[in-house]
Amino acid sequence: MRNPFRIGADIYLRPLEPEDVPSLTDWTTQPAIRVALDLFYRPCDQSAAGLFLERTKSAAHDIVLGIVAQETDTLLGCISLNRIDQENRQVQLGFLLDGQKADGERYLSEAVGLMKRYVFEVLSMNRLWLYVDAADAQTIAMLEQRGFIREATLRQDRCLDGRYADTVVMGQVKEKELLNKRRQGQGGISSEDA
Amino acid sequence: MQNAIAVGNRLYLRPLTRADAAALVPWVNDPEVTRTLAVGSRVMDVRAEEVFIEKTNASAHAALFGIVVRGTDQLIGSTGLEQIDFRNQSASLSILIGEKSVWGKGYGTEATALVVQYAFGELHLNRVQLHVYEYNLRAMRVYEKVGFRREGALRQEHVHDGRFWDTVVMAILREEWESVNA
Repeated sequence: MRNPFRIGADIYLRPLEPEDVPSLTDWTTQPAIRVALDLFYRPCDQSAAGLFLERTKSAAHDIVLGIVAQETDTLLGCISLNRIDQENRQVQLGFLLDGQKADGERYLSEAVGLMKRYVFEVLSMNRLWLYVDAADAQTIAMLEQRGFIREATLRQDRCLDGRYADTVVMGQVKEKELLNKRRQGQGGISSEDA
Repeated sequence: MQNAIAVGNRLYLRPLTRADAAALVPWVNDPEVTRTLAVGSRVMDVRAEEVFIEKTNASAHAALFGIVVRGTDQLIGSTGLEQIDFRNQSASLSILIGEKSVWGKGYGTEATALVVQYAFGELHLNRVQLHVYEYNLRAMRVYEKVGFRREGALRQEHVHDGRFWDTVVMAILREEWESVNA
């Protein structure tokens, strides 16, 4: 493992480095990622990806980490915290996953669990939330398994392939999370997040 | 009327300028007014308000208006659109009626309808959304009257008076607006 920031069972999270820029650039061209993120409707070359990385590292309200398979040390995707809102104790979650890598969804679920623990137990935030494409049933199911709840459906929130698409807001709050853990008879860390 | 951009029965909207900052500052520091706004705990002075007005007016992704009573030309609040996204054809609406003597007279409803008309008519957007705190029931009724629909509640999204509160998301689509304003 190189420079691990959070370590799980099969993956670890680490800061992204300049040598990751070609991977970042490649991801922006993958159709599933373009749909999920609504960011890459303009071409993104390596200099743009490098600039994004530099800006993110110096941003006070964002944290971006690479998701890496422990066994092979392969970069699988990245996971981020954005709009860190100290006053309202909330933060937005984001992620993208290289669609070419096997077992991606399982690794992503583990990465979400690691980030959850970081948000609630280290940053002491109260609320973690994110936007999800309403048609992405697989990701929504994974997030529900991780304790997120559908909070709102933003109708015709964005344009996608020439039509309007809905976006789901999913969130979870610390109070609820701690209550669930108490019900499960666990301490500060649930087994699903380990 | 001075420099009117949208005109209603009793109100009109006009651009805000630096000269309006002094009138707005007492409102954006008044807890009775700000309890419903997403301005956080910042303290605003006239200079900060001037900078906010100038920055917003210079932005291609925002439209800021003063709410003015026809006849008297009295400025009673501000409203506008933020996060104007021309690709997705959407924007977020905000409104502040700062002049307390006119609260309860239905000006909020008229001003909201004027901004929505501007969004769909002038900017040709498809969706206008807003956030309203769960304790602001009066505002929710106003938005429903204009045609906004509730899309969900963001749990514990906002801190006020030492506790967390939900934030309700409401939106109106072009087709909904057109169906009642055809």
